[in-house]
Amino acid sequence: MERRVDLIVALAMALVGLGMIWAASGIKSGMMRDPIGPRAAFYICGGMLAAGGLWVAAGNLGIGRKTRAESDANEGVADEAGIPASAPRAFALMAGAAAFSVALKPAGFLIATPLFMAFALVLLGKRGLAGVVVVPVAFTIVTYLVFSSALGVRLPLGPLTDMFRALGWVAL
Amino acid sequence: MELLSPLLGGIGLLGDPLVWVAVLAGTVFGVIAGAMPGIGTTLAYGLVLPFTFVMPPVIGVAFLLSISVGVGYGNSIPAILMGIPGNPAAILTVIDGHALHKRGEGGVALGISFLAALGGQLVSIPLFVVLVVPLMALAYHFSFPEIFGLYCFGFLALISLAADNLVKGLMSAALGIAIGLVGLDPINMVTRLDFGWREIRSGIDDVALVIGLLALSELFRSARQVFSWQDHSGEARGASFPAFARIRPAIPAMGTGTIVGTLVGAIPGAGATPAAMISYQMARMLSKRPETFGKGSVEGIGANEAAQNASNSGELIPTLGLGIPVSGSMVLLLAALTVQGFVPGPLMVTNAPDLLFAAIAGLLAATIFLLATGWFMARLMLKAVSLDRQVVIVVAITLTLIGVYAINTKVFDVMVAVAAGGVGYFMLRYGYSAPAAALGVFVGKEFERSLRIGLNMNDNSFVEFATRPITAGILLVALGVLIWGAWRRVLMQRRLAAARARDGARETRSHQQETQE
Repeated sequence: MERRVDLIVALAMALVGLGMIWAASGIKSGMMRDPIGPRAAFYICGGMLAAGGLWVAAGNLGIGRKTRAESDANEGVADEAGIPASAPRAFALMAGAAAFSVALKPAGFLIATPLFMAFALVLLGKRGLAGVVVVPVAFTIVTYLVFSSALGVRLPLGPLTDMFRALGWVAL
Repeated sequence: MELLSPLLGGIGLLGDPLVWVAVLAGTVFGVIAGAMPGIGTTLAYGLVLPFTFVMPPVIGVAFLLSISVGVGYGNSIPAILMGIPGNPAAILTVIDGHALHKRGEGGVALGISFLAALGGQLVSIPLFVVLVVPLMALAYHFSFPEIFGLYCFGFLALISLAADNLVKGLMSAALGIAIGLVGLDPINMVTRLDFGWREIRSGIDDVALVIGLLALSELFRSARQVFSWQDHSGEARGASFPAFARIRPAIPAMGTGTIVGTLVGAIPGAGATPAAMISYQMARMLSKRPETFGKGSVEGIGANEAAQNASNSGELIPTLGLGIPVSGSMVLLLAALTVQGFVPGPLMVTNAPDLLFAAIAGLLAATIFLLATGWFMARLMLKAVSLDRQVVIVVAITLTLIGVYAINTKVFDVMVAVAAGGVGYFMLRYGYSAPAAALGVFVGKEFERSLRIGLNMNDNSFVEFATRPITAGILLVALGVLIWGAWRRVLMQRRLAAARARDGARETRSHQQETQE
């Protein structure tokens, strides 16, 4: 576990906590009064996040603790030993997944899915027609048939909607 | 409910061919998922969750639990033959099982693992019934304050026992609860922290959040490294089922493993890994040949395989008995049931006993199916490890995202799942507890509601609320678990500091000797 990133994550958590407390102060009280009220849970959760985040950050900066215990360094799920790991690759995949979710409606499932899969496979080192084109296209078609026919899920079709409607494949 | 009724109900459901179809599909999928390193029960549940929405609840429960049984058996195959643990619980199988395989006794390791996994699963079912029925009877004494106490216990036990760091565990639960509370206030019906977004005015979809936190996070983390499972070689050729004389020494260890697995599995946050480790240590203490442990001990394999599978039944005790999910996979099981309209809580199974029957039918049918086919499947399952790891990751991510979309056909849910996956990635990497956050998301609303309505029932008095006998008892146990968890960490840190000091002293001594020479 990188201490620098742990510090950043802890500070981010503390910020979220403080933001939560600030945002909760704007919640209306409502007509019915009870000793807890609609804000208290957010104050408590926000307080725990802020205090906990600052505590972890202080530990990372060596404040208030004699030594940073080795057990702390072992926190979190470690990578496989002896194999290079790349955080940017994981972040790029997250960005790709986010782009897929944004593109799902306008581009449609049948266009967005193979594009996302091809991008993700290239990112993870796959090369060649079979790996980057055949797998995504085949998976997309099979999944579309399973979800739309067997499970009755209406997947978005984007620009293909009119064509599918004209062919009688969908009744929208 | 009488003790025999759930067993008879479960056996009665085995007459339904649809249950068998679901169980066969679930078990085969579970064995394949278990054989693939990194894909445990939680991720396997995440992948198939959308399919359960179109199934009747009884079939869905049987399907999901048969996956647990399949994963429990499947992960031992690459562990023994290739030295690859399918999940953390299978690490002990690697130590003894792979050692036996390297000595040319792969058949012995596979045979004992097969019998221990299925025997442990089978015996743990009546144990589960014996423990869950009295717990369900208690449910009638539970009102809002007691339910609040139970949730407190669930959170604190999960954090104290499973989180790497107590402070980070508490922060994870707080984050999850806060996210779960976004939307309409349950008492005043005012909107909370919706920032004017129409999409979250009535709350963020908890299933999308939970799938993101538990399944997508693990897949994003897996994408950090690119390698092939095929790098490890293994084969099951010539492996024959061991003779009874070879199996006999492992039978007592299997018995201990089954009891320990069921009981430890029922503790929130514990699950298969601690169950396997405790059983392994117990088997070593009770063994006449403790020196063989770690070098190919059949007792070691028997104890930990039985415990891993028995913990499947154990996890169901608080999940179905009290409505408190004790692990990531159990959160997803309850998530599947909420989509079907069930309300998690102590009265869920009391009001719908079919769910309990379905759980028993799923565990029983999967065990029977594996008993008939598991030995032959072992060789076949090695093919799962020869699948392309990178393709599996990408297919799993895509399937998960489509599954999330299928819940409400809302693109916003997919965005939520991706964001939760990103947050979960950091939680996994930096020692925050994703299961505690998922539990918070899932029960956060009920947690707050039970406190506020409970207070209202007790004249708005905190003293009256907390001194109700059952509530006070549960809250005291919860506090005890938290103190014990904190004390355990202090002891661990002291041990590590002592070990560090010893190593330092040794290094200094050897350095001085070198200088003198």
